[in-house]
Amino acid sequence: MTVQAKDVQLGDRLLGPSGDEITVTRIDNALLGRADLIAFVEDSAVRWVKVPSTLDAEVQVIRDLPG
Amino acid sequence: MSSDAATHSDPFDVELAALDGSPLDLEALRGHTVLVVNVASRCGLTPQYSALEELHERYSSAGFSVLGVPCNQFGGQEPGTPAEIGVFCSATYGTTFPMTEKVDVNGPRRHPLYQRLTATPDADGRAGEVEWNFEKFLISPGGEIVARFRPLVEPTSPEVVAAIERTLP
Repeated sequence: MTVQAKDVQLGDRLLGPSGDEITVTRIDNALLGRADLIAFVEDSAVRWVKVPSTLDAEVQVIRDLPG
Repeated sequence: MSSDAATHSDPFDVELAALDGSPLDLEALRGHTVLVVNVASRCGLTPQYSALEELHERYSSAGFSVLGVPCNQFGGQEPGTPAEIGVFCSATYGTTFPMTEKVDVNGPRRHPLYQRLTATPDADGRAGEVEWNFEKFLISPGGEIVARFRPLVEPTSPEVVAAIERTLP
């Protein structure tokens, strides 16, 4: 599914810059002090990556359905 | 600080290769003032390379060096091979300062150098994770991490220059 970056949730999986899937474990607002920038962070036991986006960008996510 | 603690926090008491894979002689940097910077070739902040080289050339004869540390953890903006990174830096910005191998600066595979660096707070008192490409840490000739500057602080800004000049051997 496609959502705006501001609607990405913790646990969403999205394609990282290298084409690999990252799982969002943290969302940082105002990247580099810019209110229009957001960053999705995977801070897991296996890796740490930070992916920037503008708030209004369309982002493809994989989201597990409840239940 | 006890001598034991000082030994364990020595930022250069680590294994680290040069960009081309050859051993990097960190011992050669002891006694120097060193500005350690995590870099990425596709970052919008790459014009800072010019200012870093300017600093390196201005103060190298006084015992100063920039040390560039390529890292691909921020937006995947350093995806290239060592050769590609080296060519980009030298051909685009004419850099001459030493560069290390590509490492992680945050997370479970954070390099020991950055385990030590990231314990240092910035001017606002914030320690911990590197925020983005081109974050800067200033190391004194005695191996003390004396300052931390976030990515948007220009290398030739008055605060960085003043800190370097205060710290020169």
